[in-house]
Amino acid sequence: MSSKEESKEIISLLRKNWVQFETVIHSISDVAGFSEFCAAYRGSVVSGHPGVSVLIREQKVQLIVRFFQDFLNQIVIEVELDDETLLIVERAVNTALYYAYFEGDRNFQFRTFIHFLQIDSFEFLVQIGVEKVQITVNEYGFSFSKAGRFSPFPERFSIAKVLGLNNYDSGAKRSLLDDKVVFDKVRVLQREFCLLIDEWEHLNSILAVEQFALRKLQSSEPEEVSVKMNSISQMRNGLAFWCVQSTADFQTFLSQLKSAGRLSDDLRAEISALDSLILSGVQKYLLPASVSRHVYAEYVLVEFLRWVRARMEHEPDDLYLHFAEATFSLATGKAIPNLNISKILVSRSSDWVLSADPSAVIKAVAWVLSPLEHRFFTAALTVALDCKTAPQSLDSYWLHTIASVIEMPGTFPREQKTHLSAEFSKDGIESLIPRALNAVENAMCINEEELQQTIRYIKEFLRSELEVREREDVDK
Amino acid sequence: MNALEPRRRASVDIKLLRLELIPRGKTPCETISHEWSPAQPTENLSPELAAKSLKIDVWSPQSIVRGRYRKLQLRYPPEQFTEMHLHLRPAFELLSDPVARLNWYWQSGLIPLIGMSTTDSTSMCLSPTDALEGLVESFSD
Repeated sequence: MSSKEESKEIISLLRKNWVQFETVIHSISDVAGFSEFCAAYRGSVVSGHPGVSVLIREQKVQLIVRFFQDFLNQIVIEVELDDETLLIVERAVNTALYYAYFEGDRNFQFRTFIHFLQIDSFEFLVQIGVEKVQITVNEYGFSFSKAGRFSPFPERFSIAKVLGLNNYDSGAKRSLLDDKVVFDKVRVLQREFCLLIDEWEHLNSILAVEQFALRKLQSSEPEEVSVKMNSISQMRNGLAFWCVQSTADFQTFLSQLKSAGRLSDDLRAEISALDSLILSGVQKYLLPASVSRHVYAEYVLVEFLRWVRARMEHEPDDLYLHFAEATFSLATGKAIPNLNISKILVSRSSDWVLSADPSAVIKAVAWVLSPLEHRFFTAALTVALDCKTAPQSLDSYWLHTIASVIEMPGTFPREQKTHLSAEFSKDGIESLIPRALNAVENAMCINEEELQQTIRYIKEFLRSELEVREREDVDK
Repeated sequence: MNALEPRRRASVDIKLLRLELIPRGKTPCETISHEWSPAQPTENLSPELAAKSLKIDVWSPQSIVRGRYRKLQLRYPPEQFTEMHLHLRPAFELLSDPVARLNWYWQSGLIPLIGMSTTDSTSMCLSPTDALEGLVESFSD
């Protein structure tokens, strides 16, 4: 059986059994105090929740164990269970959980069930023939493994798979020409993307709050804190991976649509609205990295890069995407095919677009840049913002944005090799820095002490680069 | 059935989130999606009550919320105001422009569940079984 057929088999079985699973979850709505709990529920245990008796908790846990015992025993008749097929089970179960709002109440999710019973997480073994499958459960879902290797964040399928977007590039291409079908699809994508962002914000803020709570503990239990911190950070990577993966798939689908040509004006408007919606979403995904210094793992950054490339196909003159491509490529250790940033910045500002504020992409991967690269991006950012605000000069908002990109020298643990050698030749960075300085200087007209300080700070940073260069030239 | 669903928020400690989620130099109201819903159920509700009935957490500073609320009251004549907000949906002219419509949803903190589909008006959110069926389909060709 091919892996495709196996997946199909497993998911159809889950589809058949889903009602039983829902019955298990529903069964807690009869427990006293649940409706109050559910109404007040916002993602973590409601304060003042009296808890449930051990008996009830045990009972419900047993129901779940029995469900998976039955379910996996049904699967093993059709499909051989190894860690690969178990991953499909895991993705299918958690994808279904993502869509599951029990009794039509968005507050009644699987995590409500877990939190109402006050279970942090639990593990159990399911006997399948002579073998055992280990299952862990937490508020984010289920993980399955034979060897005990679990992904930190229970995995899910990309939403694009649920919506059948991947089928569009083969057989269904003809239906792309039917406006009504496409219109409908794009509307569905808009809705699904809104829901995806809702999930991202919901889970990301839960993780942010958990992480913030750790700061209080920091001094008392350093070891325990670092273990927890690590697991939160892995969770964030897993969550971001799933979100960005789905987003990149959406974007790929959109570029296929645009390439199909012959779109009506209405459809074009819907597509471009979805396009900008996706862009705002991606800016949100960058927040943990750009604001709270979360370091995205490489497998997440690769998905970001996939998104950038898919978008670039139809927006080749968007400077934001060039920033993103350059920084994410550096962070994943990939060669940059051709860095166009300084080339673009020489051309007239009406020739290129800045679809979003690129400061987030620079901050998100600042930890991997060499000091020189970092200065290059900062200078380029300053020039780009200045070009786009012209004929006005930079205002306080943009000055603060630029200042927020500047990192302390300690961010860069060691002097790394610059990957951008060609681009860093004289006409690259050296023409940019005077322009950046000029832009910042022109913003000087405002008389505010704090702002003056910010300006001095930026200028000092940019100048220090010039000085380094001059010293190098003298040494030669 | 409600045509719109409020976005969930983990409001465990909303003040903490503001430290985390708001880019430097921006106030909550300027940041897309961080602002409070302009969708008020009725004219006479206070922002707090309105938020409660929408199951939304208000976490912009009170002064900003009040400001927005007043602006909203100025924007629509009273008879439209009630109708608009009883139905909790964007104005018609907003619906016709996709960018404006999505922006409305984005900023209001509400997720559109109905009226998004042109062919099948009954399709609301996907249910878990719909999702699983979609997956089965995507693995069979």
